[in-house]
Amino acid sequence: MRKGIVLKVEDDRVTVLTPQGEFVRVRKTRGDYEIGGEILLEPSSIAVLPEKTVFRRTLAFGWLRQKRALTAAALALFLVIASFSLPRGSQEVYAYVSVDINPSLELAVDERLRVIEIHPYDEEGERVLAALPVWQKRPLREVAEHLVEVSEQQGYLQRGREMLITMTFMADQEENGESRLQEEVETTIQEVAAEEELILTAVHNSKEQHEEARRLGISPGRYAVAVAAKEQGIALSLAEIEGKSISELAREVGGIGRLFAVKRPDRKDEDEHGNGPQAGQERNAERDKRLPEKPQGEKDVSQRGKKTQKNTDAPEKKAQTGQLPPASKGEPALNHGKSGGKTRGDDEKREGKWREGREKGPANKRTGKDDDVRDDERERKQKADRDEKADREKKNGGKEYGGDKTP
Amino acid sequence: MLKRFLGKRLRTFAEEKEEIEQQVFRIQKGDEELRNRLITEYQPFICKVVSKVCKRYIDPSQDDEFSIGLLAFDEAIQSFAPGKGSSFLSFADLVIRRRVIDFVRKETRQRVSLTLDERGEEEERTESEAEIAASLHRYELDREAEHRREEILHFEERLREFGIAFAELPEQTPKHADARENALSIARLVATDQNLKKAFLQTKKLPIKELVKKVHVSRKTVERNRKYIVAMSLILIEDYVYLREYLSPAFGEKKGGNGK
Repeated sequence: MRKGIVLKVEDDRVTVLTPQGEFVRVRKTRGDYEIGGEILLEPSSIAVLPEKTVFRRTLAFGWLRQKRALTAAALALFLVIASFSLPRGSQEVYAYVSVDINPSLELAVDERLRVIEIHPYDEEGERVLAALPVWQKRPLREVAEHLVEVSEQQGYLQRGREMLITMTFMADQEENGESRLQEEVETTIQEVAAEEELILTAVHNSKEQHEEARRLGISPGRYAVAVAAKEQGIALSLAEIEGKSISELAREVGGIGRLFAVKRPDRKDEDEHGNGPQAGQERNAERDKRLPEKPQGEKDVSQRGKKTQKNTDAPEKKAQTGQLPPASKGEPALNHGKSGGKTRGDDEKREGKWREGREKGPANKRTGKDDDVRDDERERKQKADRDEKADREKKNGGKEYGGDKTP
Repeated sequence: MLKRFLGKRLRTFAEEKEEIEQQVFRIQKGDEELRNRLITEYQPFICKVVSKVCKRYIDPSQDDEFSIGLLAFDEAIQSFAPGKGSSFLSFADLVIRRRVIDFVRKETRQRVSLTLDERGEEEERTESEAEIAASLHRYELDREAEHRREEILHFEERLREFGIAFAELPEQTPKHADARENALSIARLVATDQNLKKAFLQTKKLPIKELVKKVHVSRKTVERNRKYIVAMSLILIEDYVYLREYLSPAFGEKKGGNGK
């Protein structure tokens, strides 16, 4: 068991220094701690959430410290009063910011951009959440930074460093005052990403899409990837979307940034002309034309946001009418959105196969006996290659437009 | 105007500080008169430190502890060297604490053995060798703990000067053994590199710009664990004999073996 020497004794916890040079906060399990004395660190006593101390510090209730019962009572009373007197609105979710690194988490922020809720979408997310320092009511920027730090410490952020941010604003886009706040959310996220040297892709999401993703139990970010991938004719099953890390997904589709970048400029074209066989090419052409004139400012992002948001409804329509982008012909259709419910069984089957393939390792996966999987893979690869080539021909190489790359 | 005024003030402080060290070195070379002057001059300081250890008011004219403090201060003057502690006063503070603790412990033990004698000799005789050894061992452990305690209290004061509280450090500790090792090596550098150390102690801030130039880490990494690095650097700079011994797994072996 680990040991440590007592540095400081507070009324409910003890700060300890281990021989390995770690400072650890431990819950008090007995009464007689002496500074300088050595104690055993039982895993159960290690306090993960330091919220209580922080709370006390901020409220400057230090003078009540000795009288614990009194403090507790005063705090309780204060909380009761506070919960009544606070304006109701401050507790309302203003926006959801979903973060997919490998761990997927969703932060709910109020209109003052303080985090009021965190919802993990997978096991990794839960682990990250557990290790996160106080986040309740903390500013989005701070929590986002911690989030990246913790993911890094837990080893999720080493390779690729792709990060996908999906923002869903609960308020109506049309309200003027709101757009400023949205920009603020966006710049906050971008600044954090820049500081942490991440490849960031930021996507906007409609309320409907957000709900749909929730219903399916996958993170809004992954859902958006699926939608965008499908639009480009890259078929990804729900299981694949769910099972892979964002970096893996990115590799699969040739860069998440690209996915959304390609999709963005032609939104209107798509709505107006539908999907001709050459649509994919046109899109690239469109993008290349626009690319140089568009600096990656905040303005742009917010515009992109609006466009993307409308856009994201499109695939659902398509799914209903049975229209599919050209390259996906013959491939199993992506199941998501409104058609997701009907073909779920299919998905689950494929998920099983896919896992089988994965267990055998990448080499086996390609040459495995499972034809479906193999065909899937090959076609996706070809498609990716084709797209890449087209990109290169248009002289814009693999530049990721949507991904805000930091040097 | 204000700035200039403050600047002057700061400079005089710095000079004064330099001077103590210079004076100490002069005494070491044999300036007896200066030695007496310095000890008298710093009596209030000695008194303060002693009463901190004893946790009661110390009357210089009556308490034995104070004379122990005087002796310790003299010892500090003789044994001070540039590598020991961040400043002479900080070093002297630690030496005084150490000596006073030892004195107080010895006193109390004598008192206990006296009462034992009174109770009867047979009882004492029955104590086996092993028991004696065990109690001696315990005594030694207690002594270490008590010395660590004083060092920790000193450490806490120093940290406060750097604007850091113990309670903040658990959050700032790198969780991974590798990351921690990384931060420790930065602290080691701060403690050993003369220029970095000087800047660190004078500004009470990590010289991040210079650090990044010397180590291959990003500014972000240093900033993220800033408080942790400050704390560890202080442990390495100050003359914390017992604390450092306790932390030898962290500081000693550089690679491997010290993970959880």
